[in-house]
Amino acid sequence: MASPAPADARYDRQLRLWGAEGQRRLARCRVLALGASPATCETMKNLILGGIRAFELVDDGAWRRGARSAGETFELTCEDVERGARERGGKTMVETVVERLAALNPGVDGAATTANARATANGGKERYERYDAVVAGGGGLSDHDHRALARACAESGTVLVTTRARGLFGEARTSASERWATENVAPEGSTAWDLRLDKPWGELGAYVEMKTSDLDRLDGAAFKHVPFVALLAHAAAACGTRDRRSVKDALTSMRRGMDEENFDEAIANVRYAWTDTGAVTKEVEEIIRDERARALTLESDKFWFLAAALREFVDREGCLPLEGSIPDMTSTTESYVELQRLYSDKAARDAACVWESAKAFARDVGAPHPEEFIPERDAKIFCKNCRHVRFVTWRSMEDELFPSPAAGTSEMLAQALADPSKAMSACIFAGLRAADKFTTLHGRSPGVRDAGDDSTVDGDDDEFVRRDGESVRAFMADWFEASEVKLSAANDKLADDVAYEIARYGDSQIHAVGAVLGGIASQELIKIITGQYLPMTKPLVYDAVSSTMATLF
Amino acid sequence: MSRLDVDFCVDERARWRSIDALLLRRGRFTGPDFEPGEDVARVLREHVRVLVVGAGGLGCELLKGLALSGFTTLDVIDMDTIDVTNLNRQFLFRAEDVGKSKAETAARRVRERVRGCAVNAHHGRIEEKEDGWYKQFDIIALGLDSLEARAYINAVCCGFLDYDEDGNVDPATIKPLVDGGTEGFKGHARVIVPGMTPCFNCTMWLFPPQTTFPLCTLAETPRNAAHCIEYAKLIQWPAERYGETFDADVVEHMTWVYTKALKRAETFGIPGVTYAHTQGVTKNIIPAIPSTNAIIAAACVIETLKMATMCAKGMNNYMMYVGTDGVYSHTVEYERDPSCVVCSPGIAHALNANATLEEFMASIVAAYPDSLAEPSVSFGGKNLYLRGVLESEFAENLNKPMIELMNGRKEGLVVVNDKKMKKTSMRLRLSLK
Amino acid sequence: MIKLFSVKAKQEKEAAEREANGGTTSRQSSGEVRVAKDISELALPRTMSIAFPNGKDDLLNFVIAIKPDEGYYRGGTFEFSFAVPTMYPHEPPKVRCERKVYHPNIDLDGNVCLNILREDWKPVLSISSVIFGLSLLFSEPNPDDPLNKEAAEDLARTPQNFAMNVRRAMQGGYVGQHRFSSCLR
Repeated sequence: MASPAPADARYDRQLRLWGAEGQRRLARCRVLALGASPATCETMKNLILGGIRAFELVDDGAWRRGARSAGETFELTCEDVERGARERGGKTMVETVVERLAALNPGVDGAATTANARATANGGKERYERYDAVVAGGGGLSDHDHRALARACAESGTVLVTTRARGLFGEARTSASERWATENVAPEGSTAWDLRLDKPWGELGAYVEMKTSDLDRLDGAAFKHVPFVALLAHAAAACGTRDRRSVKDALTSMRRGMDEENFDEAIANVRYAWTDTGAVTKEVEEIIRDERARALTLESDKFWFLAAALREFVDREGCLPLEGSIPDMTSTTESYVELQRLYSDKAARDAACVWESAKAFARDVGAPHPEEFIPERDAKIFCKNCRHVRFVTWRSMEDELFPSPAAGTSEMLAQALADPSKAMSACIFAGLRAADKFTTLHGRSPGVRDAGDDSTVDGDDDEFVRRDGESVRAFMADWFEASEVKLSAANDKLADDVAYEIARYGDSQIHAVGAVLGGIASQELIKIITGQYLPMTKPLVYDAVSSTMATLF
Repeated sequence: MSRLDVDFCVDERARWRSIDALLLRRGRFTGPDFEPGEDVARVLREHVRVLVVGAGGLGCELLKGLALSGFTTLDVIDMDTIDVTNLNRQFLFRAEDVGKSKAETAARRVRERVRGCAVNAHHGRIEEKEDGWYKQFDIIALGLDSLEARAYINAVCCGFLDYDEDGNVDPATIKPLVDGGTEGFKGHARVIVPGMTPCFNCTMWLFPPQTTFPLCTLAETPRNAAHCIEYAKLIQWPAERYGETFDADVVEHMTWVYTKALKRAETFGIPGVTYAHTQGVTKNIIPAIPSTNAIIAAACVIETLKMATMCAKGMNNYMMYVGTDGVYSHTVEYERDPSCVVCSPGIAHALNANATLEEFMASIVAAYPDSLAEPSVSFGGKNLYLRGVLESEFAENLNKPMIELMNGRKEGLVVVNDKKMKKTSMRLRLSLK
Repeated sequence: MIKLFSVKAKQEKEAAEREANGGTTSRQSSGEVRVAKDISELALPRTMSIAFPNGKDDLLNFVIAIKPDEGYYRGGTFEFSFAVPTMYPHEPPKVRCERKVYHPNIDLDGNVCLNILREDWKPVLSISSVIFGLSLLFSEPNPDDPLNKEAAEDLARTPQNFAMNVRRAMQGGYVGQHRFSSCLR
């Protein structure tokens, strides 16, 4: 009986999205987390629930100053903080957080390190090599620290996810070495089936002929159950033209009455009569003609071997490998099952061709076990998704934090500012940079009188907030100027308001804002780790004031 | 060496400093009439009561987020018990909790973690509570996966609305709803202020009807695994296990349907019937992951906080989120359906206090001759007069005074139907004077 | 947006609510509102009748009887139970044939294959549309999309034999190995 094993039952609802292979990849993933901020704890919570292998959390938080942590993170209680401050030799704060996080999923190992997150972030790549991903945010990490981290992670090939929050404003960003996204990559709501009705291959042609040659002699029930795929190919062949009107007319003239659903389906799908669904798209063309798909070495990413093999297939066949699935349609069971098999057999043959040449390429560069180097499953998935596979690259964090005309990011920033739906996000992004500069310069966040974690907020400090806001605004102006971007009058006012608001928020870490950022961070990490769906490659700004998210650059 | 403090107590002001920055200081993006200060903080911490409907993927996140936003009186209602498949996202539950009440377990876990936050659990169906019970809450946050449950709560809250003679809603009768929903990498968060923004029923079209297959396809021309599974459940089960109700949570039932479906599929040469797929089809399982739930629920929490304090302007009024290709989110302002049968204010209509039903109908036909000729009338869940096939059964009501038919009330919402109005019903705010 | 909460307003409201007569305000679900409209506007031809087993206050459950005056099923009475869900008209009514009938589109358990009852249901449709669809099943049984395959093949191949079998079934006799109950009145 194939009822699910208990271990799988826990993951049932997510296996339905990324499958057993995605789950296996997740289960091998080790994550290092820096700074026990709400966003980082929430990121880790989601990853641990999802079933990563292990994690380590680095933070040097002291119990005596833990009051605000108890208000911001679910992993720490007031009782914990009081016990920790009163007792000697008990658990550290980070140990307690790790214990609570690890309890979310008994299959995940957790380790706690009491150390300064900033020092760790600047520690060099050796620290990250043991990990598949680093999650950073909070712990006093500055833009400068994030940059150092990004460089070290790039060197060690570790995925990095950073978040930052100030009050109701926040941002999240991923970076990784360029990589492939090959599975579940069809665009949302895409309903284009790879039917190849414009150029039916041999077996499909024979099927169409068999189903339609005796159309006039079929009894009523049989007539109404000829699959639309056959009707459409037959009609298109009969009228010998790709003209929409004539194919429709040909179909209509074949009908016996008005209640034949298969004919309704044929007319609704008439575009397939002339749509070349096997055409090589511009994106695929770029990938298979890429230099990296030619200069293959043992070090090349194995997907370049598949890209090279796909190039051979395209050059030989003049089209992409068949996807292999068909929509449900009015039909008898036998006709449908036969048609379905026709498509899946052809897809299997095409994928086998691609796999064979990929293995040949692997053999050429001296791979000892080509069939292990390029697993069959990868070839099949690659072919099935080849219309939409993408080679994903990230811009450097440097070019985003310091937009420049040379990097092209100045223009993107200007575009965002000109777009009413993104202007606020662009101002928030600038505001976060300005607040970072303020903090570095003054040793405290704007709007915070005392850098101590146990300080409280005073209500009667309008003047103080206003002054800090102006200071933030001035840094924003510097940043825009350095980016060679001019603000419109409307955005000027918006920037004023954002700067004031940032000073109002101070260094507030609102739990729910952290939960939104942590949700995004964990989700993007899962997409990168599983190689499924398309990861976000641009920094995302979250504005909890109007509940909007926008990506910049 | 660290210094130990034997008397150390968590200072409440230090604990809430992140939230306090929003409540005690002026801002540039605050809601209408926001006046920063201790009063706002007191409303949040001492007065506002929030009901969380559903203690599942969204509900767990909502409870955590609300407790850490400073709300101190939360209630949660859910009829479900914990299942092992919940554990990948319903983070308040552990393996040893399987089988226990979701509402009670979730409430206990949040109480244990957040000092001073009272979470009251209600293990039961939302329909079992009287409408009046829902009145005690100031904001209702929905973490549901069923359209029906959403529509129910929506109808309850819209039923509280009172309008003045000009059709303006009485603000004291507004029960705001914050709603979240997720499906895999996609989700939505929305704010419903009944009487002011569109209610569920106004935008029912947002929810596509569930796909169903023709019975004759299931019976005679099955083509895929789902067809075989549906056949086993819809046709074979009632025929072969007559009198027994199929229960998707009973393993033996699921296995029976799976076995039948598999056998049927093999007969026809159809691939793809697995136990997991059988569960998916029969329980209409929607994929669910922790991240989407966290994002959507947190967005709802923030809206609830803003609604209670006005510390920032609110979302207007529907946010959709798609995380399959990068992150895409869009906030749209949907509009009310002026003829919504659940939330529209209706037209004011006055009548003398002794008028009978017959006189009432005559008066509305005279007032709205373009819409009405032979009206049918209902009030408060009861039909007072229906034309057509049942007309004779209602004849006795014709000479009864309206005040009697309205259970002694002098004001109320009367729903009127008429063939002359093709697709809509007319709602009248009747007052007897 | 309005300011919903202030301490004072909140306290006043609480006091007012304590005074107000609590309890349940009865209200119709949107499904009940709509079915009331459908029922009040229902015009039944003389070949049909409707009955409400739970009385006039439960419009969600009723029985439609069809007595075809032409075609294969002339003279028979066929009862269909309707269960209207609270999400009506977002969801279609559930309809079953209450008596065993020999029909290509109705199986021996009373399941009815009518497109608008499942895959083609739309909220603009009404009880009236469904009843019209049901009457069509008796005037024009469709052998091409069968739910009872024997009956469908019988009708497609030998309509006269099918007519005989229908009569036999309506009289309460056997067709093949299935015994039917009489529906002639």
